[in-house]
Amino acid sequence: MKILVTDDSKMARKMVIKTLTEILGDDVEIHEAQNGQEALDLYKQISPNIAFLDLTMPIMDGFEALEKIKEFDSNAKVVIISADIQKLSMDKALQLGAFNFIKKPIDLEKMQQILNKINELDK
Amino acid sequence: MKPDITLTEDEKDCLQELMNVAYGSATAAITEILHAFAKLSIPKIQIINSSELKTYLSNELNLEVEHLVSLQQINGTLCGENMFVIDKQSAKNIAYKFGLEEDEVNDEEIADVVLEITNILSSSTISKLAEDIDTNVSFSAPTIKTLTSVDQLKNLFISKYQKVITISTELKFEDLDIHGELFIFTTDNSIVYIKEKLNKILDEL
Repeated sequence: MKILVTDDSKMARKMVIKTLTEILGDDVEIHEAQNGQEALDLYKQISPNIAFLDLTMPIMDGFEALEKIKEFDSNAKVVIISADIQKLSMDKALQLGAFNFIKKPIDLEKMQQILNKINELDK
Repeated sequence: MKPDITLTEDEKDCLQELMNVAYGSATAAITEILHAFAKLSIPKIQIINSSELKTYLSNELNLEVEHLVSLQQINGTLCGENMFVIDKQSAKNIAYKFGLEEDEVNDEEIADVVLEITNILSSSTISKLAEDIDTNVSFSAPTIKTLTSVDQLKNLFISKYQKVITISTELKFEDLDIHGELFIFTTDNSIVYIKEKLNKILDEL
């Protein structure tokens, strides 16, 4: 399984990767991006099964990256992981086609549920 | 031996992310009250000499227009001061958003609104940050004054210290023309404590 993890914070990326490997083990290919533009470029190159995106990032924010990724691949499974937990931000992300939204700090159970759902859909 | 009052890039990144999460939840609380959408910014972390604090603030703040500044002392292992700065028009706009009519908006009401915002924003941000680094804090009652020059900031408690961490982040409601900035200043001893805790978090990753 190929996973793209995007966050401008190295620590935040490590936290996501740690959670993912706790759930999925080491049998995942993880790619990292530091902003929305990098995420979009990398998405086009590697076509990941899942993309995790932060919202507040420099150069290109998560909303714009999500929109552009969905334009490129309407079936893209993009999960937002953000500290911006305003209801309007969550609604906007879902409206733009996000598969789900995880509030920071990451809840292991929520991540597990989302990965299970994606797994079911991919079967 | 003098304590190490610097932060590595990884420590800065870690503190920035903790602030991001803490500030995100505090902002969400305010947006619930104001029924508005805030644009979150990436927190800025810097360590500067206390003697340079006023110059730093002069560069950060546009004091050509009248601002209101609310200061609140933070006590505990994480010791320091928080400062919320907002221009007067933004403060008025928040007051309208709180339901006040134009003829009700006077200096006293505006000050009250700013104190309320400071309380919610800074207390919940710092409490969350303190929780993340395993400590407790208490707050003094915030004070408020109008500001047209940084020289008016005579009583910054933090200026007694050698170095300060400045953590700054914006509160921005684009549609409502509201813009404010929260600064958190911490003392030498707190920097050492924060550094130790950040490294503990980083080691666990």
